[in-house]
Amino acid sequence: MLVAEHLTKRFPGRLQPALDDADLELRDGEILGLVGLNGAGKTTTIRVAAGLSLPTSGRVLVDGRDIVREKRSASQHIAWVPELFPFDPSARALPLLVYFAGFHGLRRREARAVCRELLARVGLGAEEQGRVRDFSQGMKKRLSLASAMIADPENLLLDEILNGLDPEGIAFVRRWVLDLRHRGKAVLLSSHQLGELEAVADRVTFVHRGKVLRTIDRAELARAGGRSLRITLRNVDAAALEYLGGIGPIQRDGPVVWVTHPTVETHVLVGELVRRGYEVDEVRAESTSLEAYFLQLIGAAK
Amino acid sequence: MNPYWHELLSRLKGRTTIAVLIVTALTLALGFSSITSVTSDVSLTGGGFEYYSAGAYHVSLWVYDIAGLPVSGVRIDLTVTPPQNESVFPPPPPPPAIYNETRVSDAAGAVDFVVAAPHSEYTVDVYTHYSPIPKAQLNGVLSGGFFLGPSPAGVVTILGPPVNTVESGYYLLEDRLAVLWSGPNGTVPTGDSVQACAGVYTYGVGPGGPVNCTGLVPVSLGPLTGFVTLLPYPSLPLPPLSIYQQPVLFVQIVNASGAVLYLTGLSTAEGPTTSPGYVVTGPGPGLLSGISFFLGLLLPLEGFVVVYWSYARPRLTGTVDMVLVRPVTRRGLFFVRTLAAVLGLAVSSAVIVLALDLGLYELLRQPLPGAFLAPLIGGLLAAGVSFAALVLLASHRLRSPSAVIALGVTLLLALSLFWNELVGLFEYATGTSLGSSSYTTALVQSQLLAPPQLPSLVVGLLTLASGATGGTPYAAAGVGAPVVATAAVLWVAVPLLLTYWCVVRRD
Repeated sequence: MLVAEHLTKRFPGRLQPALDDADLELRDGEILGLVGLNGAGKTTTIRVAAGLSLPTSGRVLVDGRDIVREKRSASQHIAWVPELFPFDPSARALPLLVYFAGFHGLRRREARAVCRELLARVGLGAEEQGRVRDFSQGMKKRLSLASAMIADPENLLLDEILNGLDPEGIAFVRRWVLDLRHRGKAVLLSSHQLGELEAVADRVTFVHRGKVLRTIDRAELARAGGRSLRITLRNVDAAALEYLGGIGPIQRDGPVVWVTHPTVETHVLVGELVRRGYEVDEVRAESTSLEAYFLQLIGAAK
Repeated sequence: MNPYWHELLSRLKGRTTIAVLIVTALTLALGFSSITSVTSDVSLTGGGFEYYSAGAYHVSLWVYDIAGLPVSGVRIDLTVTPPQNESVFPPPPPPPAIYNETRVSDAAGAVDFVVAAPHSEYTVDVYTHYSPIPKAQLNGVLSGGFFLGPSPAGVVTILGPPVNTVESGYYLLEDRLAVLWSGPNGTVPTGDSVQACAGVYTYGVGPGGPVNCTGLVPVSLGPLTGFVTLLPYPSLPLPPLSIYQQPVLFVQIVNASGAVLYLTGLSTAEGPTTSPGYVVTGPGPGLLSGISFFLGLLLPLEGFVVVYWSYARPRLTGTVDMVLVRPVTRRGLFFVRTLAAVLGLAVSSAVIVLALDLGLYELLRQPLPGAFLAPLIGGLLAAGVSFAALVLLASHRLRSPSAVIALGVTLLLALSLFWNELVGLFEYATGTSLGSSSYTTALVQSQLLAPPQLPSLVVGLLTLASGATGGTPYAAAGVGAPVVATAAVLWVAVPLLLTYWCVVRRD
């Protein structure tokens, strides 16, 4: 379990804090999705939680241990998998993992056995002596996952690890995190691939400009869901938005406008738009997605 | 295993050791290159005489060191061949040697050969071995050979330098005269003694005063006790001199009845030389001041490479994060990686100094003075660690590894290779004339401002302590051991503490 309380992180020379009084709770046996735009504070949250970056104020408790004041003890219970695997490109897979294992008190022979098994589990059993620079993006992610699992920690912080993966790699990570949840681990998964998060996350926390906007669970997401219309207009203008806003909350992305919970029937809406002189390319009925919810949420925050 | 032990051992087995090995090997190669180019100030000189008697040449040689003291254990190969007929072409093959013998000098430095041969002309080749000092400089008959000619029986011929019976100057580091003398037919002189008196030589017209000790009161220097006798150099009151005159020391050998057997005049310019020029090019401060130039470059370079690989680069590329997320603190990791760098530099400094010391002993039989070792190791270590600490601190203000490399190389060149030039430019710009004493003082004091100059400072202090002339500027600049030690401590401690603050408080 990981609890972040009133986390604030300011970087020198920047007026806006990267994290602004953020609270977060990651429970055992759950996958918590972390969603936000680029620069929202997701990576900073994870780096502070992993003990890689010092908070300006606030604290992070990992299974009750302060990650700053009790770093060694807290770090025994946490692992971090970054978006990009940051290690010396000339390093070889197995020796690298054995080196990491030494920090967890594993003796060399034991470490080699554990690391070999981990490499086999992530599908890199044949690449034990391969150099990191020769690995593909997916292989590096797998190696990174293996390095995180050396001490089999209770809490895992996965930062954008789905980026750059092919469908097979995404499926592998999905199975991996579901297995972790099954084993009672607490998994924080930040991602831009909201569809994937929607599929695996038990709860989702939305961050924007360093602030935690809201955390919702699956039930809340389901409740927030409902019919929405995806309308594509060739000549969308302010008057069109005013009209659409009158029949439900709207979100616009170029020529596409989403209307959540419309108060009129679809054929009536189309007829009215045509009557007002708008060229309607497409009107599609959708159920509310995490993406739409997120866009709606940050739209409200703006 | 404790994670910090694990990290320390991993560091020492990794690039730190490679950097240490490379720089140590490079430094030693340059150091030994400097040593082998140095002429030893242990100069072995051979002199002697020969005479023909009873169908054989009698050759007696003596071996001296630079202080005129006999040297035992010198092996001399003597080969005698008849002269080659060079008037025909092509020249005939060299004639076979009629004599080939190897002997070793005794406690008095003497080696005697008896060559049974008809009274004729012969060429003598001498090959000298002195294993304790492979690089001992050889002079006189030891360095080549001489010629045995048909001298009348009973006439003693002096062989090679020293050509005079009484020598001074070159052979004298101390206030002594080395007197080479033999009795009739090469016997040990008995009853002969040496006297000296002060005379005057007038330029252009020759001696303007007495040409020998006649009319003067000679001072007795002592009896001759062997083929070589070391006597105190006389200190005699000189007569009043005009600008056209120079003093002359007359030295005469007299027999038991007071008859003068030999007389020579020694210019006072040949008087005792207490600081001959070649000593400063020998081992010790002179050699070290040459070596300290590249030590001041290579040890900081090693410190730079070690902290770049172990700290600056991992921090700037983010690879250190994969370690920091483990059960270690940033403070502990900083401490261990710094310790690994310091250990590497300490081993490197100690190996370099001790190996150079051993090399000096093996090549010249003149190891560094024992009191030099600890300050030299300390100076090298301080130079390496302080420069590494500077790079470490700078890496916290930079954004990329290439920027760290650029800064490190620039600092290294400026503070090490081109420091004197930069100080010279500054002094020139501020109106100090180059070569003046104030310029030299400024140059010495400026070394306190550049960590790579610490080895030069230490060598300067050692030179000063050993009394050699090279230490004079340090005394004039008021740069003593406490000042240098304080500068070294500050250069090491301040950047490290600031970096520690950055690591613990700012990251």
